[in-house]
Amino acid sequence: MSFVSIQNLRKEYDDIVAVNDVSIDIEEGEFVSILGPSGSGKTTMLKSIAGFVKPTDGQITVSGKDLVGLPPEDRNMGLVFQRLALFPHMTVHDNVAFGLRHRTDLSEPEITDRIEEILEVVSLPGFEDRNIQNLSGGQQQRVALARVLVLEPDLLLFDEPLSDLDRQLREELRREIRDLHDRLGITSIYVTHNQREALTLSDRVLVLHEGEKVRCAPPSEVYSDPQSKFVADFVGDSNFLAGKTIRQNGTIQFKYDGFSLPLDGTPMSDDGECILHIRPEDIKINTTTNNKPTYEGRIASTVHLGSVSEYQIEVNGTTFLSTELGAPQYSEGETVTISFANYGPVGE
Amino acid sequence: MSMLGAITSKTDGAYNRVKGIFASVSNDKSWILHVGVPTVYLILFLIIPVSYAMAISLFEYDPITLIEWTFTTEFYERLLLEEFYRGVLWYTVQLAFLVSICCVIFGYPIGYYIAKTTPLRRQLALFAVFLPLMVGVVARVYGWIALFAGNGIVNTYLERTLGLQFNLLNNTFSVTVGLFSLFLPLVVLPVYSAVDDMPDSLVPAARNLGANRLQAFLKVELPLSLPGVISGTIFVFVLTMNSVVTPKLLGGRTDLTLGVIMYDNAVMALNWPFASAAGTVLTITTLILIYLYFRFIKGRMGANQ
Repeated sequence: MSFVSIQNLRKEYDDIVAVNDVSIDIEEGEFVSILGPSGSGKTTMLKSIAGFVKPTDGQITVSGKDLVGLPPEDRNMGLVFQRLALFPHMTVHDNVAFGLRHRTDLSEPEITDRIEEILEVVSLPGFEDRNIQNLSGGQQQRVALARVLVLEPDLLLFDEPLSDLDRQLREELRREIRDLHDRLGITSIYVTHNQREALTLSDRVLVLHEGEKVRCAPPSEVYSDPQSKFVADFVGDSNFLAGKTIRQNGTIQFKYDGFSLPLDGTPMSDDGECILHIRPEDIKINTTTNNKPTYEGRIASTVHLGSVSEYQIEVNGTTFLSTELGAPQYSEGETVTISFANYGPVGE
Repeated sequence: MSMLGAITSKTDGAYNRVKGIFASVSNDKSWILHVGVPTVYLILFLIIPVSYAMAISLFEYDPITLIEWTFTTEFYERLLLEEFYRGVLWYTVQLAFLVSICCVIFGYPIGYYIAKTTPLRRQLALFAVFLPLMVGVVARVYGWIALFAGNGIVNTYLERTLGLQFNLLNNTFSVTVGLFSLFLPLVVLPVYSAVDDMPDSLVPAARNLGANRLQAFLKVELPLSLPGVISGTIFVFVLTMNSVVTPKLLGGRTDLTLGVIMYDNAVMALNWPFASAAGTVLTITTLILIYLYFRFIKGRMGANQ
C-alpha cells in the first residue's frame, strides 16, 4: 500500500460538489502538486487531508492509518499557509516552539536546541528573538517552514505559500522548498494555481478541474501529453484545431480547413471529430522539417518577451501562436512558411 | 565593534528622525493645521474648563457669592479624611471594577461571536448592540425601574409563578445592571474589531501544530484580542467612575458615587468648591488606576515573552 492513499474523496457543500471522487496514491518521499484554477477543489482537498474539512465520502490513509474523523491536532502533518499564519504576538523562537510544546514532551532546553538546529536548516541562524513583524516576506516564509519542519511531520502540506511574494523571491524560495524536500525527504503535497510552480517543483502533478481529476502524471508528461483541452490550455499555452479524422492509405489523417496532418496515435473520439493541440514552440518558422507538411502564413503581430519572441501567424484565416528563442527575427506583415514539429489529439 | 556599530546606527536613526521632523516642520506649512487645530481645541474645551474647576476647589465656599477667594484645602481634607467620603470613593472604585468585569464577561463572548458568525447574523447582532445606544440614558433607567420595582414586571411575574418577592430596585444590583446594560457595547465593539482583524488561518495553524481548539483560543486568539478588551474596559471603567444619573436614579441611599456627591453639591447645594474638589479627586483617582492597569498589563505581556 502506498504511503498516502486517497480513495474516492468527495466533498459536497449544499448544492456544490467541491471534490468529486478523486483518488491518488502517493509514495513516501514523493513531491506531488495539486494544480487547478480557483474553485477547482484543490484547497478543499488539502483541507480534507489536514483535517479542517470533513469529507462527504472517501478514504484518506497515511502509512496505513485511516485519518477520516481525526481532528487536525492529532494528525502529524505540517501545513504551510498561503498567508503563512505566523503568530504575530510571538517571537520566532515561540512560533517554532509552539508545535514542539503541544506535540512533544521535550523540555525547554531541548526545544531550544531543536529550534537552533532547524533555523540553521532554513538559513535563519540566530533569529530566535526576532519579532515576526520585523522580518521580510522571505524570512517569514522560512519561519513558517521551520515551524512545521521542526515537528518532523509525516506529510508536508503547502497551500499556495508563495502566491503573495514577488516573482524573484518566489523563484528563490521555490528552489529552496524543493531543495529542503530533497534533503529531508518528507512526502509533500503542494497546492497551487501556478502551473510553473507545479511543473518545476513536483515529481507528479494532479490537475483538478471543477472538482474532478483530469490528469495525474509527471510534469513532462502533463505538458507533452495533456490528454484534454483543459489541461493543454491550463498548463502552458496551446493552439487548438477542431477538425475531423479520416482514414487514408492505412494512416489516420487529421483534416481541418486546408490542413492535413498525419496522426500517430488514435484519435480521442470515434465519431471522426478531433481536437488537435500544438504547443507554440512546436510551430517552426521557415525551417524545413522532414516529411512534415508546410503552410504559408503571414506574421500578424510580434511581441518581444525578453528570452523569447511571440508571433501571431495567420494561415488561411486561422491564427497560430508561435514562440521562438531570442529577439524577433520576422516583422509584421512578412510572409513565412510554418510547419508543426509536434502535435497531438486532446479530448474535450 | 559590532555593538558599537549597533549603538551608533541606533542614535543615527533617532537623530535622523528628529532632523526629519524639523525638516518637515520648516518646509511644510501643513503642521499649523495638524498641530495647531488640536492644540487650540484641547486648550479651549479641556484645559481651560478643567483647570478652572480644579482651581475653584482650592477656595472657600460662600453661600451668597458661591466662591470666596480665600485659599483653603478644607474640601480635600474632608474628601480624603472623613470616613463617609472615603467610603463613597471606595464604593465608586468597587462599582467601576464590578461593572467592568461584568462587561468583559458578557461582552467578550458577544464580540467574539459577532466576529466569527455569518455576515447576515453579524449585521443583525451589530444592530442589536447599537440599538440601545439610540435610547437616552434617562429613558433606559426608567425602563429598569418599570422592570425592577416592587410592583414592576419582574416581581409581578415572580409572585404569580413562585410566590416570591425580591428587592431589585434602589440597591447595588440595580445600579450594576443599569450601568452594565449601558456600557456593554463599549466592550463588545472593540473586542469584535480585534477578533475580526485576526487572520482566519491562525487557529487552523495552531491546531495543525498540535493545539486543540481551546488551547488555540487561549494561546493565540485571546492574547491577540486583548487590546480590544483593554480599550473596552478602560472606557467602561472611566465612565462608571464618573457616572451620575444611573446610580442616582437606580441606587439606594448607600449607593453614593463620588459623581453623585459632585452633582448634588454643584447643582443642589451650589457648593461649587466642594463639587470641584470631588471632581478633582475623581479624575486623579481614575488616572492613577488606569496608570496601574497599564503597568500591570505591561508586566504581564513582558512576562509572557
